[in-house]
Amino acid sequence: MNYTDLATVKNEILSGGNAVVSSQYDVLIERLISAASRDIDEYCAGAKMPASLNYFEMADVVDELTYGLSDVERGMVFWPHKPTVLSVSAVATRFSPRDAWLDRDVSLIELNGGSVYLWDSAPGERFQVKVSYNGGWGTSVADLPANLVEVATVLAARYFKEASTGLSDSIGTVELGIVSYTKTMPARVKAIMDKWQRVQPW
Amino acid sequence: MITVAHCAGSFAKVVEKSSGVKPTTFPPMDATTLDLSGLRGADLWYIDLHGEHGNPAWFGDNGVAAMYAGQVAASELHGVNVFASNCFLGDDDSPMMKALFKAGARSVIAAPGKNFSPIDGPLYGAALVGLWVRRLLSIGSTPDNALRTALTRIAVEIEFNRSSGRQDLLDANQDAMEFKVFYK
Repeated sequence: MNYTDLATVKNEILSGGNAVVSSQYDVLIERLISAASRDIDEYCAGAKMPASLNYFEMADVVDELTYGLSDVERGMVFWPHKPTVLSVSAVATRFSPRDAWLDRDVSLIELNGGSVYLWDSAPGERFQVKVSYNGGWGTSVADLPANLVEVATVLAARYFKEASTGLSDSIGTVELGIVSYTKTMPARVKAIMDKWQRVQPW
Repeated sequence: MITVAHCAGSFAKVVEKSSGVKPTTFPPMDATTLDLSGLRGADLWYIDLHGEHGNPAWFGDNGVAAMYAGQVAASELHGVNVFASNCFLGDDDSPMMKALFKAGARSVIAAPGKNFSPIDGPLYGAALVGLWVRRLLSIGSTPDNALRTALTRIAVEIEFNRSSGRQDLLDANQDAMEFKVFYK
């Protein structure tokens, strides 16, 4: 899933004082939109795994494997691989691959953003979890928060300008004069995405 | 994950629970019998000793000197993350903090001023932060992310404490929110 669309990115390029972008560049822009969206996935998920692609897309996830940790004498907590968990349909735990999966009662689950708390005894301090759930932020660009769309748009437009006009950043130093370079990500984009970075390990 | 723990004798039960390993305790050990060679190759050094503001030493029970800054600085801590509930380690210009970094510590998780932990029973305060930090490091969290998530768990505990009316636990857990990750 891409986090912005062609029309939005073309408008962004236009608003930067550039001429209307001809439709001959549509294929290129679509490719750059995908690249920007995957860069956002990688940065925010903190992982480069097949399951970290489309990190923000709302989807039904089946039998995802992750780690859980026991809580203080009350239950256990784990963090599925989506930024928000909306519902959980099945959970099983086991201490290690040598053990059989033990199905858990999903009515004992409490959801809190991206974390799942299960009010049941843990099979160990650290254990494996197999979870089926629905999570994510949206299934289309229209569902996504405006700032995620903005970040993807700015990033895709920047990639286009770098390719088409040689856009770069510059810094002046006494020793070297003006040096041109290309930032991997604009500071504004990075600052916004920092808030969405996954804190728990994949 | 290899964890090594050192603590005051009276903290042994709680430190074993939060660090997940049997700690070396002071007493019976003291600064003259101290051996930090086991820290080489460790992933986490978990410490719960008494600290004083500006004092280049940590202490066990009854004021026994457990280790001096010079001994810590001479140890091999390259690549080791340190979690310490020792009081005053997170203060500005802490001589023990400098010693840890001189020894090559990768990161130090500590708090300024006094810290509070139980000596028995359910974990709270600094010991609870230590428990979560260790567990999260064991599943691959970075020190920053481990502490961030640990403090989220402490915040949940604070809500429990509020509803249960346990002011002592509430105070200790609120104080524990001051833990930070320090880098050289």
